[in-house]
Amino acid sequence: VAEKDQTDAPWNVLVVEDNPDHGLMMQRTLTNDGRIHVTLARNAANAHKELDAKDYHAIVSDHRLPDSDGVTFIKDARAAGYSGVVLLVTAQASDEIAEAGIKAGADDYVFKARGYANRVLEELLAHLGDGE
Amino acid sequence: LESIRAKITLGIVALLLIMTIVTTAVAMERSEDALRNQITLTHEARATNAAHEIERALDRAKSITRATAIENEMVRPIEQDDLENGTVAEGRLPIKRLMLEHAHHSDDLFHGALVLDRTGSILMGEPFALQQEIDQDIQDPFTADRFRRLAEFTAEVPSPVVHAGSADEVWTVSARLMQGNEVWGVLVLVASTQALAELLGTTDGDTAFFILDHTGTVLIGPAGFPPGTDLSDSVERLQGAPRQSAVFEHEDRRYLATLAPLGDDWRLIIAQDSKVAFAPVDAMLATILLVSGIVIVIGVATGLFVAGRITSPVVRLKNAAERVAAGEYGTQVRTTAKKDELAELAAAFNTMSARLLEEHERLRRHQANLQTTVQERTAELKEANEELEAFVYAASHDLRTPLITLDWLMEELEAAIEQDDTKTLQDSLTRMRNNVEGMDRLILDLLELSRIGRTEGDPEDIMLRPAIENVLETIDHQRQKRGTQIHIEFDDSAVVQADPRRIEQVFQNLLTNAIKYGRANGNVHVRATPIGDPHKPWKWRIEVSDDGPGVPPEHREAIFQLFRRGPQAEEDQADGTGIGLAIVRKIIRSYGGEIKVTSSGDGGALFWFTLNAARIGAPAARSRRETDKSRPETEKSPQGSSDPSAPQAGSTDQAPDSPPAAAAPTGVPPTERASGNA
Repeated sequence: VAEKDQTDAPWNVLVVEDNPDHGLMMQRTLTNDGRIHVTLARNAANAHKELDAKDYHAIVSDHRLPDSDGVTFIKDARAAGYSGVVLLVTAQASDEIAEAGIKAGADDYVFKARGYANRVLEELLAHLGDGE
Repeated sequence: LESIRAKITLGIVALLLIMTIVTTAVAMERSEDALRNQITLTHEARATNAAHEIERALDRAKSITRATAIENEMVRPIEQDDLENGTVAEGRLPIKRLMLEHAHHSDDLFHGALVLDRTGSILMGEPFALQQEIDQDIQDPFTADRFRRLAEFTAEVPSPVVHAGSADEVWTVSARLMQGNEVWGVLVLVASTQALAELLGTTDGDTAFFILDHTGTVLIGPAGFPPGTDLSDSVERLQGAPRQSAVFEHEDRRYLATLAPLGDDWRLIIAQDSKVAFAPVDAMLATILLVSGIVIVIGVATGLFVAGRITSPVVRLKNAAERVAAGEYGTQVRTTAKKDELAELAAAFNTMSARLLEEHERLRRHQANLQTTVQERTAELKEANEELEAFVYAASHDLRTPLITLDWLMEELEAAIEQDDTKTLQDSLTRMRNNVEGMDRLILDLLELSRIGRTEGDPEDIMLRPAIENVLETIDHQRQKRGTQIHIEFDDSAVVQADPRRIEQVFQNLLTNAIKYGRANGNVHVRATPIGDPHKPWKWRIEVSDDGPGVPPEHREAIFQLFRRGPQAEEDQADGTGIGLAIVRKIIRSYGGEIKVTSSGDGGALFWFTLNAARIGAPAARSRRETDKSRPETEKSPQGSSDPSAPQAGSTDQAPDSPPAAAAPTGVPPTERASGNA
């Protein structure tokens, strides 16, 4: 987990992403304006640990995870009592997975495409802003 | 079938019946005719004999009377005193004695004699009593009158006269008794009807006789035919009939009657109840019918038996055929030692039934094979389809992921250039290069995967040992970095059918994985086991096992799929395209083998696969490289194949996150490196 000087940021966001490049991309993009603090988890197991250890305002989860998948992870997290914002990121423009994600408890979804990190940021700000 | 038995039985019985009836009818007709003729003949002879008997008796009587008459002088009227005194004067012999002297024996027919005077009074008689007594006895006016008339008549006739009458004593033969020229009396011999009947043998009650005079008038007849009855019509009819015999009806009974001449102008008719007369015919017919009946009964029984013998094999055949029809192929019927047509039919049926069973089994097996084939094909198609879907899914992810990264890194690059941030610039460029290399590797692997099974030549017999040694050389760098020891535990007898380049690809992928996921400084074992006859196996089972964390059971199938990697690979962020095992499986399957992953004894992963053994033993196997002879390696050496260089492991590249340049793209023929191990 790369740490930046963002401890004052108001929102804690957990990013579940196994690809290290994408993890870095998410971290850099989301933390750019200083309002979001990002914690990276490489798989569902680590993510659950993080949720147990700390309060997160939002979760951004990739669908494809080494030990599970995003939809299952979201379902498990909701079942475990998580009530924050949840975004599901899926690789292909698959409505089925997106719908399954919403059904599992995701607030929204973002397709992995060029520059999708910025879209995630926009969605996050929108949802977190609503929550305020 | 039952009707066949019935028909055969019926046929036999009908044939027997017809034959028997015809034979019986002919026999009966001929026999009856013959017997009737015979009976008639016998009857005729009887009548003739009877007539002769009567004539003989009459002749005797005549001779007696004649002789008596001649010697009549000796016969004088018995004086009253003689009668009173009971004495007979000298010269006066008893009539009976006189008769016996002439006839020498007692006559059957005549039982008495009388001497009558001209008035018909009895002078003396034997066994008749004296006149007084006779007069007392003979109260019957007819008899008395008859004697009188007889005496009168005889006195007029010079020779013995025969009379037939209807009283108890019916026969009289009389002769004149002369004294000088004067007739003084009449000698009469008397016979009874009973005696006549006895003489003729007609006392049985079924036979009667008639004595007729020349006009056909009854002189003596049975009851119902008093003297004087005219039977001239019957006589005429009898005279016209063959053998003078005919059957008459009288008072609801039938009589066989035969006419015979009696003397010069009398006639005798013997009549017998035809039932009695022809009783032998009835008995004979009854016998014939009985015999016919027995013949028919025996015939029916024989027919049933023969029909049974004929039809029971047919019935057995029918039952067996029905069972075959019901699907019991192979049903056999009992055959006998006999060599008739039915036995041949049964044998042919058994052959047919056995053939049916054979064919049925063959078809069933064929069908089962077809079903299996269809199921296999369907499964293959389904798998291929799923593979394609997985490919599309994975390609969209695995190819776009680095593109997205590159896109972002270019932005980073721009920002870094603007801000003159050299460190970020360097970092971004390195990341970009890694991503480009990764994409290149991915595309190369995909190309390779698509080539498997399309560009193959015929599989050759290749020895596994040299093939794996080539691979060991290629991956030696990686091996040294991890400090892994690789143990090759088979010899040159392991020869399989495959393309050597593909086998090297398989070993390279499996060994690379084993090094990558096995423990650092761990051990990897490669074994080959013959399947079937150890000296002439039909397959080889090859195992590659490591001492790493292994593959969880739920992932053991998935890791062979495209772009799917085990959890450990994901967890470790191990480099790799997710295509390697898919390539391995595709190669193994292209040679008809199978590949599985299971757990090795110590919890690590154990990959095993099968390949067909060499077609004609090992010696023909071609070795890819014979240079390995320089490497003095022992079987199952704990030191492993390339262990001598282990101490230098990791000396070339220590950077933990450096690109895995050492891992040559799978499928690329191993480059001939200097074999520094030797």
